[in-house]
Amino acid sequence: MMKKMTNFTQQEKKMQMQTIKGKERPRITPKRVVLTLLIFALMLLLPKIISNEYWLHVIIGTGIVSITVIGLRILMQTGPVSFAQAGFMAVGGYTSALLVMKLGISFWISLFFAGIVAACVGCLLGWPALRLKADYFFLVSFCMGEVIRLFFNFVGVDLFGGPTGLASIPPPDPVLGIEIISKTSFFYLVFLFVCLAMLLSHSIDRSRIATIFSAIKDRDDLAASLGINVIKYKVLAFGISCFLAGISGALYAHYYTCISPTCFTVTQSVNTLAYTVVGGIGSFLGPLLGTAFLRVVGELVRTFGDYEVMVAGVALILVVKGLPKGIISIPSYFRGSRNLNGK
Amino acid sequence: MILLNIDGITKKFGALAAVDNFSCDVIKGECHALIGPNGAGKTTTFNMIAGYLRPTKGKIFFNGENIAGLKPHVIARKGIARTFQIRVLFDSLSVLENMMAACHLKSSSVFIDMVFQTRHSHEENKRLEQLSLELLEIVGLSDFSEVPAGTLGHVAQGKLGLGMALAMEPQVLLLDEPVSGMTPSETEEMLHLIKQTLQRGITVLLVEHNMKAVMSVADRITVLDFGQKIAEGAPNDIINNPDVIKAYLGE
Repeated sequence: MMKKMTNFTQQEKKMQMQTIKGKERPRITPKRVVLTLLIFALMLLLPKIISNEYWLHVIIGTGIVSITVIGLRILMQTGPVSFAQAGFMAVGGYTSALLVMKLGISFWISLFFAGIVAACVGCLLGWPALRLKADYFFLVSFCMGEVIRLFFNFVGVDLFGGPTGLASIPPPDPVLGIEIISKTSFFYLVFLFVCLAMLLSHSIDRSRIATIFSAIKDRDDLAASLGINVIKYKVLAFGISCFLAGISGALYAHYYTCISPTCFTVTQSVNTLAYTVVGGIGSFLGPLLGTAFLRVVGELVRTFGDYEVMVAGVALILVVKGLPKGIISIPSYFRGSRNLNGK
Repeated sequence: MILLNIDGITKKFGALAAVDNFSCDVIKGECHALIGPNGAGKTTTFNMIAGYLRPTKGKIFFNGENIAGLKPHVIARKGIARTFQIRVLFDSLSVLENMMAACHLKSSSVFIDMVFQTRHSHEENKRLEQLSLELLEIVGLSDFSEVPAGTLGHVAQGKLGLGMALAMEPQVLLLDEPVSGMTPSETEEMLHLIKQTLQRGITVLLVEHNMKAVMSVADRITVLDFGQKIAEGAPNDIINNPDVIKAYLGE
């Protein structure tokens, strides 16, 4: 009965197992713990190392957006790609800003509400839309993002401020007597939330949820035949990604102190998607790497003026062509263990 | 006892009736084969039973309950498992992870449990892994647990698909062309597994083109042609039925 199977020699089988393994869950090894702690220490010292206010500003912006990008990757683990994340950032940003400005609620509570409201809007819109095939969901999500932006542009001008948006949004309330106004203090605030988002993403990767997500991404029909409620998991992933986008939007609002619908255009969504793809969705570190890489490239080519977008576009094409699994996959090329099913 | 009662189902794609007023009973414990020329509507029937297509008309009773039009995952949870025609697996996952995904319903951990890695979820993971390894043992794939499912050979993929359906502990198993594209010896292996499945008391409904395989495993055969039932009965009656011969070979 097992003829076919036992035809492999032991050696052949061993080789096969070594070179091609299934998706690996991230493991916590001593080496990784040390590396994480080192990076952590470096990040904590960063404001001391970088005295240049401008670059600190760039890094804070990168951190804020990377939270949205981390969220988008969680959605993309189940298959669909969303073009609406800037819209959900807007929901979070407006929610938090209005709660603080009109109702005088503490920033720390409004931040949480920003995430919750964005997640609720996301689930409400995603529940019907995620039933569509991936390509069609992509198109619908494009409209979602635009509709949300136009909503803030035209509806309730008294409340949302119409095209001019909201200005003089107060900075976060002091915590433990520390005022969060300076760039350095904001850096630590954003750093904290990036860490929390990464922790969430990493926990999902380590859990069985990640297996279910990839299963749904691979074959949703097979997943359904195994009793897995595909829509539920897709909506869950979308909800989490919108929650993170909402948090990110709120941080954006309180850092830049003014928001308007023009902050959350399609360009922002395109960037979010580009950061995710360039970084690679194979690892929870991908989004952070992608965002940092493209942001820095963007800043370096800023002198090209109008050509900036073009340079970024070319960089995107090069990465997608040369590294379909994102820059996170570079180390595996050096290790020589290219995953054969990575297509 | 009639486990699955298909009552006059019709599926129209535009003007074309892929399945036309088809009725059929599947008795508990039997191996029932659904055969017919290409395009006869066999797979469409399967898809309607498993919930992937909503019948235009008609009802499907499972244990006396009408399941026509329910969602695939709901039907799967009621005890109807299926395999797919082309070897459909979660290609990027390892064989073990495929099986664990199939065992997902058996776990009592909820999302929050799993994300925060509580002790309960650790225990559940261990239990599921153990269960999956046992199931892989049954289908003879335990040596391949770490290999990505996409790189398995044809037969091994078929076995894994069957094993994953068995993980559902179904009452009825729908097999869509389980031995297509296999050599005679491979077919033997697969049929052996199907017979084992029947011995476990699982009712099997299968679609298959390989008549030799059908004859050796089926208790009863239903023949479809142009979406309509043209014959039903024991294997020996079917091969001598003039209508069936006409449908397969022409006048």
